[in-house]
Amino acid sequence: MIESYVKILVLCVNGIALGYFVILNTTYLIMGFIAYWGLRRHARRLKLLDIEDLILTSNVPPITIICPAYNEENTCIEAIRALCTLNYPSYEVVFVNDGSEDGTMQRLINAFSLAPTDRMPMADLQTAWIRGIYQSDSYPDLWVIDKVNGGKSDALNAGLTFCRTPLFCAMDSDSLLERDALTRIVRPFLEDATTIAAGGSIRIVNGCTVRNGVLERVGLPRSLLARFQVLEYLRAFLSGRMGWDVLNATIIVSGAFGMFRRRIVIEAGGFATNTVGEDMELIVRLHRHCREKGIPHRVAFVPDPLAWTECPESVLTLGRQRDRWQRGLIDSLTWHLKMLFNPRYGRIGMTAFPHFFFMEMLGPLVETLGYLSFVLALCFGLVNNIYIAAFLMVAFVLGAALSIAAIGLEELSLRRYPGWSNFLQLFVLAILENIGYRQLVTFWRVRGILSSILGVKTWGRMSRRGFSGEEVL
Amino acid sequence: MLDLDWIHDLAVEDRIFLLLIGSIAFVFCLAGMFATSAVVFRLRNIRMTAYWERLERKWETEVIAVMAGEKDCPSLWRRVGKNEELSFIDFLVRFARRLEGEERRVLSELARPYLPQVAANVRKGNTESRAEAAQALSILGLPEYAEHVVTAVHDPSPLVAMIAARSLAREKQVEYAQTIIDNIDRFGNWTTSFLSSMLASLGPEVAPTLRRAFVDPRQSPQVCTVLTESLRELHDLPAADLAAEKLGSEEDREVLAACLRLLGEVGGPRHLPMIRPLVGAADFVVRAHAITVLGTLGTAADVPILRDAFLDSSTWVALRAAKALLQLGKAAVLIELAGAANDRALLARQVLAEEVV
Repeated sequence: MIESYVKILVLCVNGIALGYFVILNTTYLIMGFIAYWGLRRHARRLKLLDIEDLILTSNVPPITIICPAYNEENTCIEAIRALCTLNYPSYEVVFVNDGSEDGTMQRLINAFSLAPTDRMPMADLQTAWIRGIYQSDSYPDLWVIDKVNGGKSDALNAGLTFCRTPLFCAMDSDSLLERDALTRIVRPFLEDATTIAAGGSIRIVNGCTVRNGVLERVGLPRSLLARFQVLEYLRAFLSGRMGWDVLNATIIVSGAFGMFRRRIVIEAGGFATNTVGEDMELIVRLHRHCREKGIPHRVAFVPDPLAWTECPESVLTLGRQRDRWQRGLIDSLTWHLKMLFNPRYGRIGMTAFPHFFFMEMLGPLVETLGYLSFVLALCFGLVNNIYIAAFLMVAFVLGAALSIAAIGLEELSLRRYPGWSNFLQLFVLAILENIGYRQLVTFWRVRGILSSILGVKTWGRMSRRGFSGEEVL
Repeated sequence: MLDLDWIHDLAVEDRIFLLLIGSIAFVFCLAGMFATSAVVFRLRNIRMTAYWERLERKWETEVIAVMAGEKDCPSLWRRVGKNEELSFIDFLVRFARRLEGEERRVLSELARPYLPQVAANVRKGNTESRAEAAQALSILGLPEYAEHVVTAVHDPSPLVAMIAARSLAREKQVEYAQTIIDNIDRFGNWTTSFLSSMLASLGPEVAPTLRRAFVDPRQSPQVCTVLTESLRELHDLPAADLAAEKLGSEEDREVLAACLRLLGEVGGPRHLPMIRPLVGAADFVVRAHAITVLGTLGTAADVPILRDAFLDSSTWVALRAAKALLQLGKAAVLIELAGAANDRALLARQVLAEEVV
């Protein structure tokens, strides 16, 4: 009797998992086609409104780059030098030292001739105690806020408190912006005055050559784990984010590089400090805030402004990162659960939010159960060849097809990976990632769900190699 | 007719199996299609890059020779293949953007035989190709094709209309200023700074038209703001009196702020009586702008007003007041405020320190 119940259960789970894979991959497929259309449109519009020309002939708004850092003594100098040489007419850099325990602050003082100065907070956001504010003698537009450790969101809020420009750019200290990234990401703010936030594409810097904060050569990383992430980022940004942008339903702007309208972010309360997914949470909250207040708004994704970021190359670090991302996703969605299928929140409430809730947040659970029940069903001979073929098809072949589509989108748009060798390697990776890597990521995401249930709020220790490639902890 | 009766003869399991085989074939075809597309995109990119490099090599030296008077136009036209005509226009547009005067005229002459084809595209095709045609005509085909570009300003697509309007403005076609102004409302989503720069790029000759539009009571606040900003960018002195007059009657925050910014640049002491009342406006944006203008135009009589504004509930107003005091040469007052035992002393110190930097 029990055996038959177990069989029914396994078969039910198998059916649900199969259905999940079909819906998930079909959604991705549709997104891919929408993104294809969006990228083509974007490329043609770029030709019509040359961005350099636009910047030169328009009064572009000044920008503050807020760059929080914690224990970044090995990378901070190069990162700031890169930020100080961006191609944009009017911007200042606010580097926030978030209570680093290493020599970050001293190195900054020495390298940029920092001197203590006075600066009045321009917003009322609560942050950890600010020990001092410094201005550089060598780069007058460089400011450093030295504060007690309070986490990334707290550091961003500290920077935001002292921001005096209508737009600010939030980024990670381990990200490297292409020189024209600001001119490109500001474009949606010029084209549409209702734009409140915009995100750019993020790429993996591992394997690339960086000299004096400038990306000189693009290449694939040596580590297989990092290579898989290259493909993941291509898929996520060119297919996913671009697709949602065309549908005007963007709910994520990556914390590694995003531009925001200062006034609206402060109005909404700044970055949430009690989540590790502050980037997504802010965007969801901004949508909610604007909808509830009747403020016309748009959150845009622009594929061409690129930020290059370092990705984890060890299994442990990558696992911690994905665990954290999943917890961030859960916080962002559960805190604003009211938006789910709520027509008051427009396309966000009716499309993007449900997708992220069911497919991205709960999906890993279904996927894991699906894998387990599939193995069980195989072991006990519960499924026929038809089911086996169907499962492999939707879980693996369609997955590979979607990754290959992302490579096609890259060829259509940015084409940052030169040479046939890189191109062919991406193809091989598109097939390989479905065997092992994808399951591993799913496992970490399930772990993230469990961590979230257990109330874990920590960021997790991350190791960095720096742009020069030497590992630092 | 395709005979599908055999499907009905199959058992349910066989039908499912058949469906599955079909699905598998579809998914594999899909994967194959994506892979082929990726390879095709790459090959096409390589081919297109090579094609453009070849064409540019072929035309660039010839175009320079024509501009230098070493060769004539027909010699270059002979080098433009039948299927290369639109590519040639594309090439000339990119070239022309960097040039002016006689050199630009030569490029227009080179484009002349191919412009009828471009002109036909203004009314057909998708949004982007219509916009592209309007842009090419405004760069290479004015004044002959002005009518076509103006048609594009009235295009149902705001993008086409915007590209056409911007092109006319950049080509300094002042006679079409009114057409552009009439369409500003359609470009409502674009930022004010972008639209005002566009109008200002028409040059100082456009100022009378802008002023006429500015005093027109039918203008929406958004258009009025754009016009004011354009006049400010042009440093149009006669606009100061009009802006000062507007301060007494206008209620829109953006229009008031734009008028105050304009007065800050081209106004004079005679406008102070209209500006001072706005220091007490309920909206902090208006207060902040009024304070800034006092820093530029004000007199010693305004120091008490600025001292009060330094203690305004808005930090932005206080910051402007501190800067205004410095602008009026009242650093001593600011130093005194910096020594006070209140929160704002920090702001005074900041402004003093920034002045030193």
